[in-house]
Amino acid sequence: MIGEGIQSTNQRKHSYVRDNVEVGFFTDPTVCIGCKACEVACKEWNEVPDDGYVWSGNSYDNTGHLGASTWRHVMFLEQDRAKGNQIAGPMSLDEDPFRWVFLSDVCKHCEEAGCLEACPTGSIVRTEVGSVLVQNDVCNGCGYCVVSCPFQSLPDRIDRVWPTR
Amino acid sequence: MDLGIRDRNRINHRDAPGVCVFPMTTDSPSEKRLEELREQAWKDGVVAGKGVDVAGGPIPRKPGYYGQPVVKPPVWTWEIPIYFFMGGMAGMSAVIASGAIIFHHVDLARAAMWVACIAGAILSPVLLIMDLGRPHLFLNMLRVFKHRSAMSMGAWILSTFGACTVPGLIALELHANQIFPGTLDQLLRVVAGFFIFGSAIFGTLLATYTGVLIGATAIPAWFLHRTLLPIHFGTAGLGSAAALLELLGHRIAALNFLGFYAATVETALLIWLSVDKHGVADRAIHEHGSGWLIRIGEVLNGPLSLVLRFFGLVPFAAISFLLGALVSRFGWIAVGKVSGSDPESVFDAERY
Repeated sequence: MIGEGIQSTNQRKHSYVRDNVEVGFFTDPTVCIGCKACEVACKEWNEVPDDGYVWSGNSYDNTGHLGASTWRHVMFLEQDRAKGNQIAGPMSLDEDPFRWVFLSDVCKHCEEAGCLEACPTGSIVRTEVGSVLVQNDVCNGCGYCVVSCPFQSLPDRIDRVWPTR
Repeated sequence: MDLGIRDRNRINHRDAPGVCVFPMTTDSPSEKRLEELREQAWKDGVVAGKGVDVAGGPIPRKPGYYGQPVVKPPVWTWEIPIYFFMGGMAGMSAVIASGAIIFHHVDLARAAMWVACIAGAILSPVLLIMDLGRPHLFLNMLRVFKHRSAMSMGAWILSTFGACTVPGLIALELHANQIFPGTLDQLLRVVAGFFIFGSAIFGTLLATYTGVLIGATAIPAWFLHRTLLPIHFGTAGLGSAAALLELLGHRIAALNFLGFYAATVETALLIWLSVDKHGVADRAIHEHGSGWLIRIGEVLNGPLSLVLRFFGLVPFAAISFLLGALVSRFGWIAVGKVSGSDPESVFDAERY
C-alpha cells in the first residue's frame, strides 16, 4: 500500500532503510555554550520565518518549543550545583550557585515515526536519506500528527495563513 | 497574548498554553519584581521569599521545562466533538435500520436511514472539512490508504458509509413508495437490503473508530483509556440513535430495550472510569474542571437516563441520553487539551 510508514514498499527500497543505516544528530551538551547559532543557522538555511519577537520569561530561552517556525531549539536547563542554594548579590568566581545545561533539540526523525504513521494524506514521508519530511503542499491541516508526536516536534497546525510554496 | 505578525506570508503563531509571553517593557510586573530583588540582594546579600526559587535560578521552577507542555495539545475545535456525536449516531442508526429491515419494520428503517444519511453522509463530512486547516485540500485524505493510521481509516470508513447509505436510502424509499411495479420493485428491495447491510457494517466502524482515533495518540488522558473510549463512543452512538428515533415517534419495545442497554453500559463505563485512575497521569479527568464535562455527560446518559426510562418517561430519557452523549464528547476533547498541556501527566504516563 502507498504510504504506510516504514512497512511500505516505497520506504523499504530506500538504501538507508534497507541497510538499516542509523543516522543520528549528536549534540554534546557538556560543550554547548548556548549561543543559539545553530538555531539561527537553521532558520537562515531553511528560510524558516521568525517566531514572533516575544520574551517568554523563561531563563534566556525565548523560543520555547519546536514548531512550524522552529526546526531547531536550544533548551536552557537550570540545575542546582551539588550543594546549590542560590547566593544572590556579589559573588566570587569559585562559588557558582547553579549551572546551565544547554540542549540543542530537533525532530528525532523516528524510525517508527508516530506522525508519519498517523498522517492520513501521505503528506509526511520518509526521504531517501531516512529523514521524516512534511510535504507542505500536500498537507490539509487535519492536526492528527500534532497529537501523535511524543516530542512535540510537529507544528501547531498548518493553518489557512500558511503560504504554499 | 499573540504578538505574531499577521500577514499572509507568515505563520500564525499560537502560543502554547501555559507559556507566559509578555512584551519587553520596563514596567511589566516581572521586571519590577526583578528590580526589587536586585535591590534587596544588593543590601542584604541574600534574597528570601516569594518569587524566588531559592534552590535554583532566579526563575520560579515549574515541572519539566519551565512548565512547558511536553507534547502538543490537540488543536481540534468544536467541530470535532459534534462530528463524534453525529458520526456515532449516524453509524448506529444504520445498524438499527438493518435490524428493522430484518424484522420488516419498513417505517423504522426509513426513519433510521434518513438519520444516517443526514447526520452521516452530509453533516459529518461538512464538520470534518470545516475543521481542517486547509478545507480545500480535503480530498487529499483519499489519496492514500493506511491501515496503521486511524484518521486515514476513518476517512475511508466515512466515505464508504456515505457511499452505502445514500443509494440504500434511495432504493428503500423507491421500494417503500412502490414507484416501480413488479420485478423492478423486487430488485430495488434486494439492492436496498444490500446497501443497508453495508452501511450497518461501516456504521459500526464509524461509531467506534473515533475512540480508537483519540486513543492512539500521545495524550496521556486519552491513551490510558484507549480500551474504554471505543466502547463508550459506540454505546453512546447506539443509545443516541435509539433516542433520536424514539423522539421522532417510533416508540417500540426494541428501541426501548436498546435505550435500556445503552444506558446500562454507560453506567458501567462511568463506574469503570471512576475506578480506573492512573494518578498524576490522567489527573485531567479526575481533578480538572473539564473532567466534570465527561462525568456530567456520563451521568446524563448513564444513571439518569436509566432511571427516567425505568419510570416510563421515555422522551425525557431520550433527551437526557442525547445531551449526555454530546456533552461527554466535548468533555473528552477538552480533557485532551488539558492533559496534553500538563507536563507532569506526560512524564508520569510513561510508567504505564
